[in-house]
Formats: sequence, structure tokens, C-alpha cells
Amino acid sequence: MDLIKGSGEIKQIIVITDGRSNIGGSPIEAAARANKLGAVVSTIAIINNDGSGDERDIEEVEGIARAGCGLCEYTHIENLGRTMKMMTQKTAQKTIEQIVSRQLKSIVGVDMQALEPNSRFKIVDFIEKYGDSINLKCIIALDTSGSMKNKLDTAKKSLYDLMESLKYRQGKSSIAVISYPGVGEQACSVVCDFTEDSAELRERIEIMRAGGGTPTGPAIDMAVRLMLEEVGPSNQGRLVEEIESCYV
Amino acid sequence: MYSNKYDIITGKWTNKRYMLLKKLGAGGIGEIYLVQGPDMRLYALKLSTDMVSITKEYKYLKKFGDTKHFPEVYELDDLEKKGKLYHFFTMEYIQGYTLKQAMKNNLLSIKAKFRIICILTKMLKVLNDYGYVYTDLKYENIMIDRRNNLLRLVDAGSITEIGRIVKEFTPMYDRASWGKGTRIADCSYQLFTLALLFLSMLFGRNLDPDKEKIEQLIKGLKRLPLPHRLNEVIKKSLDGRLRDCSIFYNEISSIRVDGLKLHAGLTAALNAAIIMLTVSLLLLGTIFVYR
Repeated sequence: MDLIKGSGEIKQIIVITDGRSNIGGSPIEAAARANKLGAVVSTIAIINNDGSGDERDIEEVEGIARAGCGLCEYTHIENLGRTMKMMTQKTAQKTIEQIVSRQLKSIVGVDMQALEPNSRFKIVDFIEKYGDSINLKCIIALDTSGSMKNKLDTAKKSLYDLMESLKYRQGKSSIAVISYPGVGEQACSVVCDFTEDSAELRERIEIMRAGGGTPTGPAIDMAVRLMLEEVGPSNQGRLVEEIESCYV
Repeated sequence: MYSNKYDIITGKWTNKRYMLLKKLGAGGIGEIYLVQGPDMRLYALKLSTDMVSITKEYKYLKKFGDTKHFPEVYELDDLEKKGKLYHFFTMEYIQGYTLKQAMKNNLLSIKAKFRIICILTKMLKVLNDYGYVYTDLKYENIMIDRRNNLLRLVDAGSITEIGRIVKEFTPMYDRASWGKGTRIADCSYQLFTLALLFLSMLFGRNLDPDKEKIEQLIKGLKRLPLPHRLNEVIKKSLDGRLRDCSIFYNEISSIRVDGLKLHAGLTAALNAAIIMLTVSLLLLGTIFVYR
């Protein structure tokens, strides 16, 4: 287990959507599978200015984040960039918080929460510093269905901004982008593989066009496959087992 | 909303009980309530699920408590509610107005605006000298403390060690959003936030990095009937050529506005008192107008 997490990096998937999935399997189940393999799945729901969208949309985005042990945030398209930045940092910090808490428990036998508040200062400092210096790999799965038409340009700019601001972190940060629906007839495609170069990212995501349905589930599955490809050949055997145990 | 009126918040560690009176506001990491403590005094209480942020902010408020530039803090504690753990601290309840309220309708005089910026520069200089930058400088975080006649910064969540990455910011004041540099906390980042706040006050409106360019703002400033020296200081701060708040202070405070030299040995408190008076009169005025 924890095949993805095991390599000393924080790996997260952020699903950005403005509606509910309507093609392919359940995105909540896909998020649960991803988390079983060690990835954190968070969601950002874009609030439609015309007030469309209902309870079931909210249930789905919250369900994905819950199953993926990630965060769920709501935002207007104008603030998407800011929300993404905050989320990548918060997720990194939260993951480290969990690791530190686990370590602490195994050493002193208590949770961080069980420590008196005034004795938490040093641990909090450590979490902050570590959160800045650990390597980060982030896959953004972006909804490019028909309803995103007027928002896609802002979304592209926000992706570029995210890369720009992550490059000042002390640790390495790379981003990959999956669009769903994908390019041509594909349900989803990797429009940009992991990169640390914001100019490259900007160039690659230009290809994205809005139109079609919302295959959120298949997009999450694709993100997991992309994460796993990064694991390297030595782990391939174990990898196959892991995937089979999750998917079959 | 985490809680309702008259709810009792009981600290898990100190067992102190606070009665919730009203919600004062909500920020990125939590919510702030007006509460009555066990000693019957009023406090502001910040409540959040984010332990790291609450602990960090408490630490900084404690560290800079003596400067009076921030609210004084008291207890750091946890709250257990419906199986969920929250974290909170209590701090001084500051009565007064935020600069946002004071700037409503843009009725502050040029002199008052200069004074506010001068005082803020001095406050931020203290922080910079300690090795920290206040990255999320904005109208909402600046309060005019009515009782003590002081300007106060009310949110310490954005205090960042010099050299580290800026995490909390508002695009309007953020140099990276304007394409004018990195998002790393340093003294020139601080001066950029100050210069943008000053520009916004002088123009009497919000500025938008997505729709405007720094060069346009500088041109706009030239059109205002203000001493030419001011343009130079602002330009230098926006270009990153100024690296110390004290230089900015010396420049701004020596500019004559309406024949009055601002420097003039006025203490920060006295300056604030004058601003207070202006603001109170203005707010009163607005109330009457609305009636």
C-alpha cells in the first residue's frame, strides 16, 4: 500500500469542475481507489454566477474529496487561481500534519491533538518548514465540458499562475494537466505531462477547448495511472498487484 | 457558521467558558466572534479547524503584543464539539472602524491619508526589523482603535519570515499579481503593498491587477494635484528600488501637503487622534446623510 506516497513526495490530484459527472463510472469510487493507492484527491467546485447547480452537484464534489481524503472548496471563476494555490499548500501541509502526528504517536504515544496547545509551537514550525521544502507533484483534472466555455480562458491563466507561484517553494514542484472531455474523441487526455516549467505548461494547455459532457470518474482514473507511471520499473511487479487489487 | 448566539464555548484545557455574543467576521482560516469571558470582559475569539494556522497566529500575536500594533492575545485552547476538534485563541476586542469603513465614499482628506500611511510605515518597519513581513496588508486588516486612538493591524496570519514564500496575500497588493516580482517575503515586497495601498487611497477606489497596469497607475498619479516628489517615491517602491520602510517614511513624511509638513514631530498617537476625529465626523456625517 501507499505505493504513490512512498517516494518522499506529496502527490495530489485536484479535480476542478462546474457541474456533475454524466459520463463513465462514479467519480467517488474512482477517488476512493486513488486514495487506496496513496494519492490525495481534492475538489474545487466553480460556482456558476447564474445560480444554476443543485444539491446533487454539491454532494458529488464533497463525496469525491471525502473518498480521496482531500479538501473541497467552492469558488467563483475569478478566484480559481487563488483557491488552487491555497489548496495545494494546504494539502501539502495537511499531509505532513498527518505524517508528523503518526510519528509523534509512535514515539511518545500521544496524538498531536492530545498535546497541550502551548507545547505545539515547535511542531507547528516544523510542519510549516517541511511543507515548504518537500517535493510536490500535482495533477489538475480540469472540466472542459460545454458549460466551461466562458470560463476556460480564466482557468488556463490560473493554471499558469499556480505554476508561477509554486516555483518559489524550496522543494521541487511539478504539475500535470488532464482535461475531461479530452482532445478529439477521447473521454479525457493528458494535455500536459509533469513539468516544472511554466512556459511549457502555458503552451501545452492552449490546446484545450470547451465542449461535450463531464466524464469526471474516468479523469480521476487517468490521473492515478499517470501518478503510477512515475513509480519506476523496480516497483512494476508490485504495481501490477496493487492495481489489480484495486481495480479488478 | 460554527456556532450560534449564546452558545457557550468551553476551553478543553483551561475549562474557561466564553459566551458567544455575535459573529464579527470570517477570514480565510476561520471565524471571529465577540464573546464574554468568565471575568465578564469582552473578547474577540478566533475559531478554526486549522491547528497550524491558529497556533502560528497566536505565536506571532504574542511575540508582537508589546508593540501595541496588534491586538493583545490571551488564551490558546481547543474546543470539542459534536466529536470534532476546533482550535481557538482569545484576544483583545478592538472597538473602532476598519480602514475599509473609513474609506467608504472616499471622504478622508489628503492629509489624513498621508498620516495613515506614515503611521503604517512606522508599524511595518518595526516588524521588518524583527525579520518579518506583513504580507496581507489591506483595508480590512487595518483598524482605527477608537478607545486608544491608535492604528492597529488586526490579523497576524500573514506575518512571514523574511526569505520565505508568501502564502497569504490579496492580488490587489501583491507584486507577483502585478507582474512586478516574486512572491517571496522581503522588505521590498512590504513596500510594494504599502505603495499600492497608498495609491488606492489616493485614487479612492480599488485597483485590479487583471485589468490595469502599474504604468497606468503611475500615470494616473501624475494627474493628481500632488507634489512631484511623491510620484518618485511611489515609483521606486513599485519598481523594487526601495528596500527599507524608513526611507519611504522619511520621504513621505517630509512632503508638504496643503502647506502642512507632516513630519512636524507629531506622535503616532496624536496623528491617529486627528484621523479618528476626521473619521468620526465623516461617519457621523454619512449617517445623517443616509437618514
